Amino acid sequence: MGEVKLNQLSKRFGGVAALSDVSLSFRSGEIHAVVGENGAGKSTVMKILGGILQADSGTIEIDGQLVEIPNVLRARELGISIVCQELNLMPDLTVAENIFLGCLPTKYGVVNRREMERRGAELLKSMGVDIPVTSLAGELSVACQQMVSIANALAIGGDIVILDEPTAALNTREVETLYGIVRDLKRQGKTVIYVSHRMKEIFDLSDRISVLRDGRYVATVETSASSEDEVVSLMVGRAVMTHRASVSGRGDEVVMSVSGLSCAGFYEDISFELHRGEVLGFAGLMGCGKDELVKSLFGLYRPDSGVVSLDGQVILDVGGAVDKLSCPRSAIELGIGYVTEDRKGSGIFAAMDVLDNVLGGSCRLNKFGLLDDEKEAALLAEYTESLDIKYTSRDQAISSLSGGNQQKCMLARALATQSERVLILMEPTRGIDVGAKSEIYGLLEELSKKGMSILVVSSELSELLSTCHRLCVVFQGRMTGLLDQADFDEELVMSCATGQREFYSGASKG
Amino acid sequence: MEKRNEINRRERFRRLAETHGIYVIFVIVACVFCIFEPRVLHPSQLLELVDRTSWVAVGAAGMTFAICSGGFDLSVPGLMALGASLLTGFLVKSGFSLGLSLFLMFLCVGLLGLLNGLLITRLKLQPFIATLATCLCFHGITQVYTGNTGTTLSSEQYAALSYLGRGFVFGIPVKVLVVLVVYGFMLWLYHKTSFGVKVRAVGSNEQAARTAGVNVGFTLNWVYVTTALMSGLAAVLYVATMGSSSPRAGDNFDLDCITAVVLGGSSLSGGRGRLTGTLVGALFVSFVKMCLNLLSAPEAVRAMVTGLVLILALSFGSLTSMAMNRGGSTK
Amino acid sequence: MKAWIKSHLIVPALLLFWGVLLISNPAFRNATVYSGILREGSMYAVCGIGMTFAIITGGLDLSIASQIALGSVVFTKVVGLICPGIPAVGLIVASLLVLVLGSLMGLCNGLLVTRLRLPPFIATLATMNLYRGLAQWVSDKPITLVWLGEGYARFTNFATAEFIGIPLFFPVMIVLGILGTVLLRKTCFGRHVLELGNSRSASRLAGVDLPHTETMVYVLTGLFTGLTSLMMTANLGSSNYGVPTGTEFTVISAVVLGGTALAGGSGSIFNTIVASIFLATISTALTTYGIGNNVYGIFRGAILVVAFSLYTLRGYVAKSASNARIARIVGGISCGVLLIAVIILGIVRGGGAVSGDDRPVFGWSVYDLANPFFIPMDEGVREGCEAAGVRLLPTHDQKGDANEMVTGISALIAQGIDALLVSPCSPESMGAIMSMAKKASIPVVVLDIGTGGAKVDAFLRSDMFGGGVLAGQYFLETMESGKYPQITSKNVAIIKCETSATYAITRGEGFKSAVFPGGYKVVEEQHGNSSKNEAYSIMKDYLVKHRGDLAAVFCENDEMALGALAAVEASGYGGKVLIYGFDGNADAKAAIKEGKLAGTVAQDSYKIGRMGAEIGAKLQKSEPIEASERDADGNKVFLVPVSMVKQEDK
Repeated sequence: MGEVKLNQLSKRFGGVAALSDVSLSFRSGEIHAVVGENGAGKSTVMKILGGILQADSGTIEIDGQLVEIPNVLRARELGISIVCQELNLMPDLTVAENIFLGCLPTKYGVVNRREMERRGAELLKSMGVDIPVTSLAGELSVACQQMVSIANALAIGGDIVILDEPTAALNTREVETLYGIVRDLKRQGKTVIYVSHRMKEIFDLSDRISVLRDGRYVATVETSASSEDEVVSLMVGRAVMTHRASVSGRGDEVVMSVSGLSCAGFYEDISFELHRGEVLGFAGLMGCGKDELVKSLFGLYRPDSGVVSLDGQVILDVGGAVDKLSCPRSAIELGIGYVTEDRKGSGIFAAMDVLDNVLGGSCRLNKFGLLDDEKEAALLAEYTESLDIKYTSRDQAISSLSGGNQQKCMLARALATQSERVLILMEPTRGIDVGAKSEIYGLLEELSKKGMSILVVSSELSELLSTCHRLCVVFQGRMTGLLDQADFDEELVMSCATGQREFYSGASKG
Repeated sequence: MEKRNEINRRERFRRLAETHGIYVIFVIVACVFCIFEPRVLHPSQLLELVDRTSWVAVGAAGMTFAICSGGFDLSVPGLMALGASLLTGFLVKSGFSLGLSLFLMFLCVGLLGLLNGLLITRLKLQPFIATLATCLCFHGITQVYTGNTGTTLSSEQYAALSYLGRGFVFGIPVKVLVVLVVYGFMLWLYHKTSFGVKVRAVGSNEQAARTAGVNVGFTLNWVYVTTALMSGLAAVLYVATMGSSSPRAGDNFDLDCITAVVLGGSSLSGGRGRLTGTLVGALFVSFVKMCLNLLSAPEAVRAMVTGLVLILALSFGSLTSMAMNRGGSTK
Repeated sequence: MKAWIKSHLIVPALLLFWGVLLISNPAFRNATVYSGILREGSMYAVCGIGMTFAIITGGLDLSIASQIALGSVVFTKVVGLICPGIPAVGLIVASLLVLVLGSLMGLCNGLLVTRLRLPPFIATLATMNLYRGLAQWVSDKPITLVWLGEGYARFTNFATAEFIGIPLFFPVMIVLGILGTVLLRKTCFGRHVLELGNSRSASRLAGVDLPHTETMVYVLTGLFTGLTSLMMTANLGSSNYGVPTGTEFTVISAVVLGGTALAGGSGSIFNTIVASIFLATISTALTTYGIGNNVYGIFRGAILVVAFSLYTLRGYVAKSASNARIARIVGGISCGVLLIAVIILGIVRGGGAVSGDDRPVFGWSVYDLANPFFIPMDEGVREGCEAAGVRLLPTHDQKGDANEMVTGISALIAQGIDALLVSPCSPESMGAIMSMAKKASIPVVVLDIGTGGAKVDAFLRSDMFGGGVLAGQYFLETMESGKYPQITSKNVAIIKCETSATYAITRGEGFKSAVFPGGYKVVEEQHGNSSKNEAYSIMKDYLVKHRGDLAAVFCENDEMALGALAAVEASGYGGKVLIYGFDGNADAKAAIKEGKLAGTVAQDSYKIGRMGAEIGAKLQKSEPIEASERDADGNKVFLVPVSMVKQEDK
């Protein structure tokens, strides 16, 4: 029961090979972790197994039988349920409805609401979670929504449960709850496939670990017989290096200072200073408020109180009614550049060409509103060279560029719209392959050397540790750590991020 | 998309204003008109209002479902005109009995609703466009079938329907009861059946619904069949009132229905339908027209006032939140 | 080159379509037909240029028909008031005013969308009502430019002039199209518009001023609508507030058919322009085949479905090579079927002269075949022509659209007719028609409605005013006869047709004049817009307002009379209020027989048609005709009597 074999699965998206001949096997009743870096193909494999995607080639066996999984319904019939990374909830439905959608308790089409709510409450209770079943899913916190998604997978009662990055939004206590749920599933004899790149969880929970890298299968190890370092090196394919950003070019001049910034429901009493040529990183668990905090500096969120100054000038003073950060446009005018984490949805203009994407927002060069082809082409060429962006012609559709090159275009756009002051990067290397990642790190370093002040928000701790000069850690909306490069330590950061301690490097508080 | 930890208090108020604003507006407008013409709020006049709005109310109920599923059904005027013409045609030209005529009419209308659904689910046309196109087609079919005139029912043919159209039960017009029953049924469908849950799921997040195993295509098809059947019922009410059909029966029907739905606070993007709001919205539009009639307002004034009041009602939510918004809320 | 064709597929489509029509439809071998198409297409194209911007951003503007109406009305009203002695000044000022007005209306739309966050569909639906109301308030009677003076007439003639067969509108449209394209492709604003349509969130993050850009898009739409309004007014030679509500969908269809996606993000003004001409070609072709209103609706629906399927198809095709092959096969087959259908239609229906037939050819253009009044008239014309030994081209249906009237009639004239019979929906545009007819040296007979002050060759009308009088007199008789002792009220009411229903205007007046001497007062006179629903509601409200103190209600047409009747019966006033109608259609007659409806005025529209054909035949042979009277413009008037259908009739 619940034994799964995946043979030679391959999948292409457009021109990119997401999976190449991946073979995995999952034993019945085990907790099996699947790990890999971003873009390794973990989610793709799971989606194929869950019926959301179809493989281009390869076969799937369940309990020794060859099966076809053309859609989600069939997957459910086979007893496979998946909790995706992107929460697939219906915000306008109640919790109970979300949990049981797909297996509603009905009699001749009429939903037995009381029964549904009762079973829902029971299920949530057995998971150790306290959420009212009648509230609307859209009104819940992200962590609660995650729990509801998991409940939905469990409600089906199948033998194979796939969890894709389930702890992304959870705090320590909630992670413990999840551990309980997973272990309980194993006790019931179900097979749990756990996709994550958090070493601690994997080593705490799993029986075996499979590693994927760049869409290929690498190896499977017994958890008890392996170590974090071994797994990480299998994931990365090279020895892990501890790289630290060079500090040259970092000045003492304060470029931006933030004091007492608060926004109800998101963050509270945040204060820090950004120096010239400095790369300041923001770390924390998903949902901790670091995103909203930094976005407030670009006019995307409105703080309730606090003061922000740029180059000595107050640009935002909620109490004193100075507000030059009311929207992205005004932020850009002040000289703050921004690269979004959602490249596909709110970053690129998918149907437009490279030139329009890079220079489209600003129109700084243009007189009387008319586009100046020559000047724009020249500026584009400059950026193309300095950022090493690869494309055939500037009229090429941006969607045909690789993820890495698209990101470089976004970076070029942020640079083009403002004059050398502050640059904000949200998840700068999300969805980019390893080679391009290091290119981007190199670019960051160059920019900082030239005197650009950079704020980086990332969920990849190693990335932050290797590119930043200082690191700010946020937990549940409050700043719990502000570390100088000398104090950089993964465990220290994690403990600040999970609220276990607070740490401020001597000289750098405030 | 930013995921929030809790809904901002202001945002909550704005949503409340959007969904329940119509009640406030209705009261305000009623008071204003009352000053000029006190008879407007007389109970018999209000009953008359519901009576008069009955077919729009029924059609709007169906439209609420369509909008709740994330789509649109602009073909309701065509369906209503066709339904009315078919019903009278079957009764008069083909000489069928009332029962058979009703059955055939609903069958035809339902199949056309299925056509709408298929265009949207199979050909993947946007609902707005697909139903716009089918509306034109249905109008054309109506005109060809009727030779472009209405058909009047003779007294015997009308006798059976007259109770529906002009009868009273304990002083309440039968049509009003029909509206209440229909809304009761739709509310039950919406809240208590798995169909209703699935419709809301699809409207709320179609991709997620699909992942959860909902047969999206099947559900949507049934949504459009429901809307079509409601239009058919509206046609029955129309014929029962007028004693005749007319190729122009559907004039402005779609505008009235959509306005009712939007005023009622249903979210145009789907997932949040407010059936009671729709009913109030439909009554509101009718109410404004009725007041203008009683005030003998000239035609030009009528069109302008209708447009202005509509804009006011629609932007109530935005206006109040703007007034509350002295600079800040999350964007 | 290949890539250009791929993204501008509408061009080969149009050329192919013209080619097929050239072969199969004799009417299309005449160059004048193409002038008509270019003229009509240009007007819609200009409007489409503005609309393209709106649709690129993912919005749309449904209020354009009302904007055109308001612009037209304001133009004609103002033009005569400013410097009456120097027409040129008045024309320029009025034109500028219309453009400013259009922009303001667009601004209003834009603000509703950007500030009040109303969805464009809803916002423009509401403003559609608002602007139409304003138009009616400014002027509820159409104004003819020719009446205002020589200078204004010259403007009309100039605007509709042609140079080597190409109407002036065409190069004007081309210039505007180029301006629009430059705006879209070569300016910051244009780029922002494309970006906005592509991804709203990305535009915001990139620093595009969203509210400003989006509002300007609607202002632009309004500006171009103003231009269209000027063109349409010039085309008709009069104000055009009766613009039918189908106009916005024609324009939207043109934009989408040209390949701009309704979801926004991409667009081509060039394609919109070509698509407008394509649609104009279809409409003209349908005219030559005599395909009436009924089927036209189905056609329009089918066109929309095809247009949008094509768009969705592109996405489907992009997915895989085998899909592409299937799509090509299906596309090829459907195109083939369509073309064969067009060719067969051409052969079966024919249009224009057929060799071997020496009979004179008449053209016949009618107000609106959807209105049952005109159906017997149409019959009468056809049978009259048959009897007079005249070949009649397929009936042209104006569908109540003034523009359609002018374009359709010019298409008829282009087909080489020997005489024209017309029942005009827009009498004030007869001036423009007459100049066309004079150029072609053909006599024109106007059937019913009105001549709009133009000099025509013969005018037949039934006595609308007299019909109203008949009804009033019959009512007075009925009251005196004591048949209804329970009716003691001295109040009567009237329910009017819509203000744009030019034919019905004097009916109510006639009734009023007849009952007044009998001591009756007209207490209510509202518009039922020829709709049964509305008349029903209005009647109910009349009864409430006057607490049933009404003796009779005169409805300007039978549809409304039946609606009012239903209201009377539902409110329990059956037999206590007398309802009179006008038209004499079958339903009304049946209701009279049953004793429910008090009476109706029957027009003999068949007779009008028949007589018209006969008179036309005589004129064409240059035989003399004797008229019973002449009207104020010196036209020969033939009165066709109406009759009262009474309850006492068998």
